[in-house]
Formats: sequence, structure tokens, C-alpha cells
Amino acid sequence: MQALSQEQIERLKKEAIESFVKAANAPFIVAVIGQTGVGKSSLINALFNTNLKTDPVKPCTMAIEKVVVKGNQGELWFYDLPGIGESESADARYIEDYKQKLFEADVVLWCLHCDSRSVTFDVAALNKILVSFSAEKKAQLMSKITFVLTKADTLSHPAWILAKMDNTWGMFAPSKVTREILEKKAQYYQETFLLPYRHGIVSRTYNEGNFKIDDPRFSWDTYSIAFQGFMDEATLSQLKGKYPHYQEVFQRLYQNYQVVPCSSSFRFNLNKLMLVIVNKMGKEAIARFNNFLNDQLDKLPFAKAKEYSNLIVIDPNKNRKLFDLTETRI
Amino acid sequence: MSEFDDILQQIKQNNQEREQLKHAVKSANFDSIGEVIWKVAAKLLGEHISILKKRPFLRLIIEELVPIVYHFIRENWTLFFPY
Repeated sequence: MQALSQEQIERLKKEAIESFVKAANAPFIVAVIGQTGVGKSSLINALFNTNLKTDPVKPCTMAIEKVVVKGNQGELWFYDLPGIGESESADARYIEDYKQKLFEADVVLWCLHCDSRSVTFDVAALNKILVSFSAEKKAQLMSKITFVLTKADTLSHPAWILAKMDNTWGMFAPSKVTREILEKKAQYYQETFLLPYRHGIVSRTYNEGNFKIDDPRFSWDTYSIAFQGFMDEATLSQLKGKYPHYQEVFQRLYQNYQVVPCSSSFRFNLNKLMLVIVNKMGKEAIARFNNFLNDQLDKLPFAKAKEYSNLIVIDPNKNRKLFDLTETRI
Repeated sequence: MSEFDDILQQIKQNNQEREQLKHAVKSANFDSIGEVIWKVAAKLLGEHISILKKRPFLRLIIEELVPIVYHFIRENWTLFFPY
């Protein structure tokens, strides 16, 4: 074969850069589904460094809302999809629009309130959305959706632990008991929402190079690895035992379809959630996504963290404050 | 064993996830740049990508070009690339 001339290589490079910049300026589209008050806007703000309005009392979103956030380069389009199940007539109006927006989106987050035990509305909503699709479309959509358990901080007993990382930053972690409760809840939600639609799902992650195994469920190229099917715990442990040097790859593929418990205010598990999002997007996570990537996903200013975990103790007889964490030097 | 072992483990895991996230973002960018270069090469050489991918020499050139283009864009548009 004839080698490329230097001129051809230079032209290739120039056109590639131009095409890349053009693609990077395309909007980055995030669709978020969930019942009223589940914390959709807060989650987007925490993940993508945006400033969407949030209202703790009255529902902010009564219809499908598109919010355009201007980044330094390009735009983020945020579709706030109101919870289905609040009224039958509203559902009928929403459902077609829902389907369209879900396929249009680069990322789909389905938010469930961590402290709610009722999943009836959400299960019905998922079924309503998927019912008219072919098996292939169902799998395609389910491969795109990430289920998130929001407001993990509402499980506040036993106390969360605040680690002082340095003079500026703090990081919240749940107590062992709370962590175990969160894991059990995540497993329950996974069984409820994902397992019924597990057939045909594809899980993807990045390739650090040299990945090569003899298993027809896997395919790979220079930068990514795909696993055809739903990786459950038994498959994970089997693969880890057989190919111990690829443990991290299997773990990431397994993690892609875990339900992720997180807290926007405590910034808990946001790295994990973002990793799942990027893994699922693969090459679609082109530069336009980087534009909205928050470098401090997992930490928050220590002073702010003290406010969140504060307990103010007063002596009503003497009309004075006995304790206020924000005023305490640590 | 201390009462904070579980928390220290969580912090360690979180740090690992942050590193994995950086790898994932960089790899996704390499992947997307590779895709763009293949498309441009197909346009320049007037052949389908699937046919071009069978040429080992071209594969090699494109694999070499990907990090060059990545670093060029990164140096010139730092806002795109936090990692």
C-alpha cells in the first residue's frame, strides 16, 4: 500500500481538528426523570456545575421543561421530565414526548428518592414508556438509563462522617450501617427496575490497552470494551476468578448497571455516578461533555460541610447558645 | 482495626473512582478523536472506513495521530479538557 504523503497527513490533522471542534460545540443533552421533589435539578447542579432553580416547597416542574445552560464552549440542554403518575390525563400527554426526549438525550438519569418505599409510580411509568418498543429498542434505552437514589443524606442516623481532607475541603461518607442500608436499597431497586429488562443490555467501559480474552460476550477495540448482556454478581465473580488481571475492567462493567445512591448536597458518590455516565456514553462523551465536568465532584468546602452537619444546642433558661459547629474551630 | 477503617476504605475507593473517571474521560476523548480522523480519512481517500481499517499502515498512522490531535486541542482549548 502507498504511504500517505506529509501533505496528506497535515491535511488529515487539520480537518480532524476542525471536525472535532465542530462536534465539541454540539449541545450536550441530559434528560432527568423523577417524581416531584426527588431532587432532579439539584443533582444536575451538583454533577454539571450548573445553576438550575430548585424549590424545596412547591414543585418546580409541571411540564417537560428544556433549560439551556451556556458553558464556556457549547451548551448543555437539560430536559426536566416531570414524574409520571401524578395524573392520568397528564401522563397521556407526556408519554410520547418522553420517549422522543429519551432517545435524543446523551444521558438519561432516572431519580428515585432514597427514603421512599413506594416504587409503584416509577415502575408503572417505566412500563408505560417501554411497552410500545421492540425488544431491541427497549434494550437500547435501558442501556442508556442510569437509576439514581437521590438524597442519601436523608438517611441521617447513625451520623454521617465528615472527613477533613485539607484546610479547604471536606468529604462526607456514611457510617457503616448507613452504607449497608444504601447498598441493600440499591440492590432492591436494581431488581425492581433493571432485571426485568436485562436482555440485550450492553455494558461499556474504557480500555487501558492489552485487553484480550476468549469469551464471545466481550468485544473491544483500542479505546473501549463492551460486554453483551447484564453482568450480575455471579458472572462478575466468575470472570474475576478466571481473569484476575482484568478485575478492574469487570468491576467497571458490573458497576454500569448498579443503582447509584448519592447526595447532591453532601456530594456523596458523585464520582461513581459520573464514571457510570461516562462509561455509558463512550465516544459520545466528546469534548462538549468535558465543558461541564466539575473537577471537585466528591468534595465540598469544609465550612459549607459544617453547616450541613450542624447541630445547634441552646439553653432556653439562660437564652444562650451552648454549641454551634460552624463557630467551632476544627 | 479501628472504628474508622470503613470510612478510610470509602475514601480510598472514592479516590480510585476519581482516577478511573479521569481515565474514562480521556479514553472517550481519544475514541471520539479517532472516530473523527477515520471519517476525515475516508473523505480524503474516497474509501469506506471499514475498508480503510483493514490497512495496517493507515491504522498505525491514525493511532499515532490521535494523541497528537488530542494534545493540540488540549493545549489550545484548555476549557474543553479538565483532565
